[in-house]
Amino acid sequence: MVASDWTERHRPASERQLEGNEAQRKKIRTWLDQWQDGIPDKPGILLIGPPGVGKTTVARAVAADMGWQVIELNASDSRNAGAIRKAATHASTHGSLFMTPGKKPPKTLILLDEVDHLSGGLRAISTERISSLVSGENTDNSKELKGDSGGKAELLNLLSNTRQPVILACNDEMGLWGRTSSTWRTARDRFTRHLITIRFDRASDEALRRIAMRVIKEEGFTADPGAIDELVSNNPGDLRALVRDLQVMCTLVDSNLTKELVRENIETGVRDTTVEIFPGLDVLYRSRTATKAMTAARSLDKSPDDMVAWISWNNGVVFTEKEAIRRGSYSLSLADQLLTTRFRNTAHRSWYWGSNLAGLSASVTTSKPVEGRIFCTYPGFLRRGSSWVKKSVVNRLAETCGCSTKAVREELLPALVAVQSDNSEDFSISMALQLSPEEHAAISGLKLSHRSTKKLMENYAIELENLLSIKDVEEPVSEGLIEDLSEEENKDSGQKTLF
Amino acid sequence: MSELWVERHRPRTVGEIRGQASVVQRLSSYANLLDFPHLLFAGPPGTGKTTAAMALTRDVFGPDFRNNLLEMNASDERKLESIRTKVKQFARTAPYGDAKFKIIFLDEADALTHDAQGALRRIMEQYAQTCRFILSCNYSSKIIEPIQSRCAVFRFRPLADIEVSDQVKAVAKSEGIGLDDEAAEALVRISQGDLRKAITALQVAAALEKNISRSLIYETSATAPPESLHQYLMACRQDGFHAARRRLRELLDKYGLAGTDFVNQLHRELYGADFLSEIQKLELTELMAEIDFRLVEGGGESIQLDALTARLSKLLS
Repeated sequence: MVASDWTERHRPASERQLEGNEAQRKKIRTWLDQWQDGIPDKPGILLIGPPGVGKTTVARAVAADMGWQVIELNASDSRNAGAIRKAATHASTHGSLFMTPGKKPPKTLILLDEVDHLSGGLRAISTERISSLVSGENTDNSKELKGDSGGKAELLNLLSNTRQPVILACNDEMGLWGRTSSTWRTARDRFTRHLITIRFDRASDEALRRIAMRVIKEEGFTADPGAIDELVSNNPGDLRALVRDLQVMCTLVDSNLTKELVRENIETGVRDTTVEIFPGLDVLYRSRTATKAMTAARSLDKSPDDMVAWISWNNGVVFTEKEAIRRGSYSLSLADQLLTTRFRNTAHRSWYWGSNLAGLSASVTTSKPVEGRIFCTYPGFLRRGSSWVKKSVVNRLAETCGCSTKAVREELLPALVAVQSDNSEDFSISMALQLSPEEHAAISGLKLSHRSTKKLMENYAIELENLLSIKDVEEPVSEGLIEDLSEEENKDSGQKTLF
Repeated sequence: MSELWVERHRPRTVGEIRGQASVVQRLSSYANLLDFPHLLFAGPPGTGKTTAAMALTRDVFGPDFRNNLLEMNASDERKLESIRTKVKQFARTAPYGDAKFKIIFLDEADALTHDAQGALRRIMEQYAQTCRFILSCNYSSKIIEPIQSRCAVFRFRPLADIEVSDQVKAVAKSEGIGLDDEAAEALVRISQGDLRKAITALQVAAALEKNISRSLIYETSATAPPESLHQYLMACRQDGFHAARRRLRELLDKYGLAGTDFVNQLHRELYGADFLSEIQKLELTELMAEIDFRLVEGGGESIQLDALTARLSKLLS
């Protein structure tokens, strides 16, 4: 039976058919090679990346290429200690059952998808309890594990003992480490000891275009080039969503997909990531009457809490009058106060007032109309982990100076930022600390997206490279040599299997 | 009158749906193909999301559509565990009869917990052969991105005034009820783009009289007509607190309004009032929001509404 769902039908079956993320896939291939000659130091891979970039696909394709069996546990399965142990035992016995004499037993890939939704904690469940669960001897219902209890602890156990390859996949690794500020670092270290971390990027527009063309051709359709462009720009980097939209559009036509048709249908079908909040905010900030402001606010399609966050962030960016900012802030804080009742009462009331107050505070509070271009920005406090660069700077400083990260955060970093903020061209401190270009930009208080920052980072990268190459006493091994070596090894192993 | 009119007049097939033209166009091509991908319907209440889902299911499966349909809304238990058990169980079994797949309709999916949504994503993919999901929600931003990426998204807009008034007139006609243009207009005002509200208000009014007038609509739907709300505002502005309070009492008695109803209806008139400056509208919105907040939290109605009237009299005079 052929899958009627295009995203399933066109899922690449082999790793070679994948598009994009070349460097990341190279890392995976190296890991696979290690599995040819025994068990690598790190038996697992952690794939991190946004939805629809092909994490699950790559895991399944790799298994198919290597002739591995797959045991998959995803968020739709219960993943408590017992379930994970069962999968692991199953994987290892499976290998020995299907062993052909004289050949290495086939491996079984344990694929844990969506580990960021593994809700259990790190607390281990007692061994007896797990083994009684696995063997099915458990008759006592009170001992039954609920939900994902002990899942993470057992996962760690699995990683440190496994003789089978393991792939974990997630969108947000913080879900796996746990969000408790005091413990996530330890949890991360305990996991990454056994894992190679690989980050997948969103696919490039070019790769998306190629895939779209291929899918259309294989389905027996044709398309205007403009139509493909329109679809690609509507689904930035999300392969699955792109193919999904293609299937939808193709049900509307007989053979050829035109640009007009795509454009017509895209408006009712835009996903959230692509709803253009910035043009919407632009209209809102230019509204001079309450009625117009509320029409604009409704078109933003943000829930009132998000809207309050967006507007309170951007009022300070857009308004030049102090009075307008003050007036707006007052309304927004009232809106925020009202929205607290949404947890106790029916939400609709407080939603209504919240969105009205937010909309008005972004429009009628200013006495003079907003003119020229408006540069709204993404609210910094909504962006999770926005200060990751600073975090790495803090760790670097703590290491160099031999003091606690708290001391760095409270005493050293503010001083460093104050020194750097007017002297972003001065690389000496950052060089001495061997900070990355991004980190240098961050402590100089520059926005990474600005063109001038990018230029500065380029300059910095060049200087840093110069510095490092002087320092390197060892002569770097040329890449050609490495390749030669690995080829010879391959030949060797090939001969072994021949005999 | 043994049946709710909203149910009796709910469109049975995709072709019968009025309004939402672009959504209907795409859905009817699915209905013709007898197949579709996972769908996500997003839009405010009463814009036809449930209707569209049911109509599409019926178009694809025929009259016995309930056999292959699992419908869950916010009233059902939908924690992580019930997604893992109930939904997965339904999804993994073969469809009944000669249907090609089953349909799971998750109404109000934005009320699903984050973990439950996480569990859903892989089910949607693994059982895509045997099962299609239709999710509906008010705010699509409450649906996690991985699920949006797995669905074809449809955005439902609030119905235009003319669409609501055409629909209520059609319903009135088929029920043998007299409904003049003014009364239809009142229904449009009450509904605010929510067709369900409009039809329910019509049914309530029709229980009293065969020929429905504008004032009957307002009286039976606990809604004050715009002109009396205006009179109240003008009284605050010109006649002072005492006169305004008297008018307020009359209003509450005549239309049977609760305090919060009154505040909300008054606010709907506010943006259109031309004797107010825009910044005054913000001030009054803050005032009303706060009064409403206190009422919802359990504040005394007469005290809060008197406070509203007093503040209004001061701000407007």
